[in-house]
Amino acid sequence: MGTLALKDVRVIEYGEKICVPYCAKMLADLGAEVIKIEKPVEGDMSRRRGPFAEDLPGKERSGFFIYLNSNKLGVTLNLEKATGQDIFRKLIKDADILIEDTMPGTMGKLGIGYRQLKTINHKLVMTSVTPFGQTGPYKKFKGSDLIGFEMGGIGFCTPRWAGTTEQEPLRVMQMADFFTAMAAATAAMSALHVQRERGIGQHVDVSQLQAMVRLNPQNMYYWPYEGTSETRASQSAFAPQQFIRCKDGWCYVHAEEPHHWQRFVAMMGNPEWANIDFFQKSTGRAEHWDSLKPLIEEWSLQHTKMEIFEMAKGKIPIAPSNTVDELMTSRQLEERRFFVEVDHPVAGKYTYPGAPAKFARSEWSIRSPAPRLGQHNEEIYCKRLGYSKEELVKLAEVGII
Amino acid sequence: MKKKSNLPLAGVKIIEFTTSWVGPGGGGLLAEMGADIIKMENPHVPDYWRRTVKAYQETGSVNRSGIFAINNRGKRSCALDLKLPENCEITLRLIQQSDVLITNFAPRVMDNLGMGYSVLKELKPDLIMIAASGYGATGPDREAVAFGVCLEPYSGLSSLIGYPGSPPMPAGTTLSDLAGQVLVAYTTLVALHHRRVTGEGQYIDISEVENLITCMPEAILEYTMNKRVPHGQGNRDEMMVPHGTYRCKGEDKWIAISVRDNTEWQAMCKVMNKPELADDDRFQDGFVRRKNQDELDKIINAWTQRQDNIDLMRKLQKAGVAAGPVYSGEEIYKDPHLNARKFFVEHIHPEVGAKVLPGPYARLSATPWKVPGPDPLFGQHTEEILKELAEGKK
Repeated sequence: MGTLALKDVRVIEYGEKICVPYCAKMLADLGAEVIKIEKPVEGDMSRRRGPFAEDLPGKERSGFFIYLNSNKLGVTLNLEKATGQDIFRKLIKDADILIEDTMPGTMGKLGIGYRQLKTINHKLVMTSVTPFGQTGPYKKFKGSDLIGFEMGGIGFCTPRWAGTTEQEPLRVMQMADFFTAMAAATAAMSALHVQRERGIGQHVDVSQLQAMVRLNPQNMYYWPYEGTSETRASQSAFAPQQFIRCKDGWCYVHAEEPHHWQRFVAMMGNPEWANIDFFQKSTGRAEHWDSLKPLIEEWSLQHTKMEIFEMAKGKIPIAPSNTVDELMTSRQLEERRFFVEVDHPVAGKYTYPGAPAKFARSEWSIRSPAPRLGQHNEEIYCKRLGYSKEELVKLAEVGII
Repeated sequence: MKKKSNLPLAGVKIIEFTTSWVGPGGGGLLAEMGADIIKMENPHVPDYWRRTVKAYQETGSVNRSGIFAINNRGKRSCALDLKLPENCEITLRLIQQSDVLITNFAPRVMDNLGMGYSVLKELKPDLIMIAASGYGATGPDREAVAFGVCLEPYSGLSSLIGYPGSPPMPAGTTLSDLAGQVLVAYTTLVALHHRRVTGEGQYIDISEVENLITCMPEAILEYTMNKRVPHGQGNRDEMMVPHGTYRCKGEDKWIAISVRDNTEWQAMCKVMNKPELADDDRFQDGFVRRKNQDELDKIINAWTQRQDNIDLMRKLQKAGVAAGPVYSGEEIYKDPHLNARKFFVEHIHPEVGAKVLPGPYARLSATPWKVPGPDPLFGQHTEEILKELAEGKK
């Protein structure tokens, strides 16, 4: 095991669902100390989101929540009350990074906006992650993963190459929220770099809409450069770059370039139809895809997707369309020890996705499962901030923690 | 050469051996933060994205690609044929002067050039090397040819996209690369922090497939916790109903609506001018709304299809309901909010002239990121870089 790269970084998290929690998880899994603040009693709304262990809903049973909040210390705190705000200021005093997702203006009204916090801690990197950013006409508009994905331009083209706009644009899982979280972690780290090099803090304004647009050159270059926009009806001018059926499911074949196509034809045993004139060029194959596809499938339906993948390995960009259960038996993921087991005192022991990257020297690890609601109240409030246990009981009674 | 910069990564030197998206995109974000980036290019094989656009087919120029531009603004392009030993020697000296090396070639490529990490760390012990690949640098599938579009199906994601019952479908853009580029930038910043604290460089192996799977925990846990294999469910959400994209007035116009709770649902019913829906047995709480989603979506579609999606966003947002138009690329460039925030930034390119493209996604109050100028012409800075090297300029 290497060094926990971010072990000297202290983070306060105040946010729900994915954007802020996953952002903080990325830091926590590399060693940052993250104190997660949740609303008393109800907690982060993703505690109420499945999948739940054994399908039994419960605040401490959501796999989704447990995944997003590994390695964090959990406290409850009501920031809408003055005493809660005082405690919050004490926590901020020696924090490096605050990550939060409240609607612009909210923190300021509570007396804990960036302007107020920087007087307590001028090195603070306050990272605000919101649907539309801190300024502008939509700053108070509500967002969601779906809205980020759809307004951000990917949804309009999803599913890609459908050939029609008859059916509605789709989202993809909760990718807009996860990508925003990654973008926010990156922005926070760039400001932390400045803090460590030059000793200054700052406010980092991350807009989900801007992240989705900026990170998507594939759809965003058309308008300024070609005066058009991609839609779901857009067809690829080249083929094959499509899904084809196989014995046990689907394969994605990307064999449009001449050398890939030749190798693919050889792999199929050089069928006679491959000599047909209009199949010689990538554009011709795209134009005649409807007649080409069944010819390819005559071959592919005799093989499993893994057989085809193995045959193509190192030669042609082809991939099996795996289902989730198949990932669990993937030799590649197994050999790289991608999945990890996390034992949670209430939910039990299950397999979770592991590290997004393999660092040779920095340790990535799950050192503790997600905190139970308020699990570290005593550790943080008593041991660190000096409140007595009696005071803690009172704070709980009046709904501060 | 340049005046003192206030940018976050001023003084950080990066050398790229990259093509298409995940590597160049990661470098592109670091360039906005102020890193000085040299992009090494093969004089015989320009970056894939220099060549995949209409302008290249029409003019043969590799300098007119918009998709290349977004990823490579502000970098310097150095074209050297690394089959020639003297060029390898020059390149090794450039690497020696760099803090970070980013590559997204297949894992074997840098090794074959004699520039694998084990060689480079002898040359420069604190080098940070970020190697992004489709499947990762180890494991039985490391040599599979990994175009970005292969990685969604491999990671299981394609099986989760689509309408109920549909075959696997591709997302509207290559999500593995979209996510991977951010991870390239993020891991670079983590490694710089690690180096500041310990003095150590390191090798970072990014598998785009694995990164994508870290973004789909709900699907993985549905299986590991409860042994169900999930498939595409359109836009449906486990907690929010209604939740989807609904047809509006006009050609391919839609609005996305996410209703979180009963308060928002009641507000939406008022905007629809159908307060009776809020009391309807079929729709009065989240549980029954989810059971009756098909019926509910029909009612909503019947209402939205007579409306303009932008007007509707304003009406719904005013009532406290999360809603937004499904935007095309063109519409994004025209959005009043993004323009009020001056999100789009113009650069002047020596061959294509003035172009307006998306700017930084994050606003830093003290040391803002900024678009560092146009994308380089192919090999534009080769001479300049060689001259600097000869003069021993760091």
